[in-house]
Amino acid sequence: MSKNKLSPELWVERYSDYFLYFTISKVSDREMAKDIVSETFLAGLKSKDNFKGEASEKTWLISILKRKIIDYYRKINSNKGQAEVKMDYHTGHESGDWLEEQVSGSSMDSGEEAIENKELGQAIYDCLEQINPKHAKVFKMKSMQEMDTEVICNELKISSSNFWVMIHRARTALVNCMGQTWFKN
Amino acid sequence: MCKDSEQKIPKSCRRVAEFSDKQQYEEASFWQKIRLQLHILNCERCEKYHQLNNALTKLIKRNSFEGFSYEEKQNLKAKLKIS
Repeated sequence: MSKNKLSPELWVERYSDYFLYFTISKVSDREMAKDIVSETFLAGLKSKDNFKGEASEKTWLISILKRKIIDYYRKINSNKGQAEVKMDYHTGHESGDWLEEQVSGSSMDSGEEAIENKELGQAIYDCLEQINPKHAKVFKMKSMQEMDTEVICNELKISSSNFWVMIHRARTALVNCMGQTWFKN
Repeated sequence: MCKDSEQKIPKSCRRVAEFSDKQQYEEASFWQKIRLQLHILNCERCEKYHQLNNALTKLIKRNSFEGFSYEEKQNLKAKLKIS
């Protein structure tokens, strides 16, 4: 079986928005979330020699991101001196790390999974991960970054008609992808 | 959602779908809007597409998520190159 490889030069384009949304949903602070995503990429780059290629690049980066989010919570907890907040729990039947489990809930790994997320944004990003990357990129630039059509066409070196074809395909694919959950009514 | 392959969709419907897409970004001209409205009066497929298209726009706006800006991405890429 061929091993997965890392392509750090593509991380920002491929994962930054998805990771940012994911992190915001966990830490609720946009600026902090941006820092955490940046740190994740830098940490990934520093430890790239540890990547064995058994997991996908994205899964590997998400595991780093989770650690960064946990570190963030540990840090703010220690800063506030909230000794009462227990990170570990031990009951009669179970024990574990509460924080780990909060951060690594079932939705964490579901980038390519079926949409079972309660959160709309997560669902949108899950679907954007599944559709043609070029179409997704054009859609994000237009719908989320609200860039001008002309600017996008110039940047991507595509014609206006090509642009609208890509937008149409992205929108159709998104509606199909999100259909079961979000377009019931 | 229409499941026909794109080739099977009449040209007029494909054109109107583009008008519907443009309208989502307020880039449809006055005549394109009129043509869209007239067309969907008689075309169930396009009416459905336009409705879903509007619904998708509302969902995106409701989410109102802003990812990294272009500049932020360039900075991030530069950081990764320096490291």
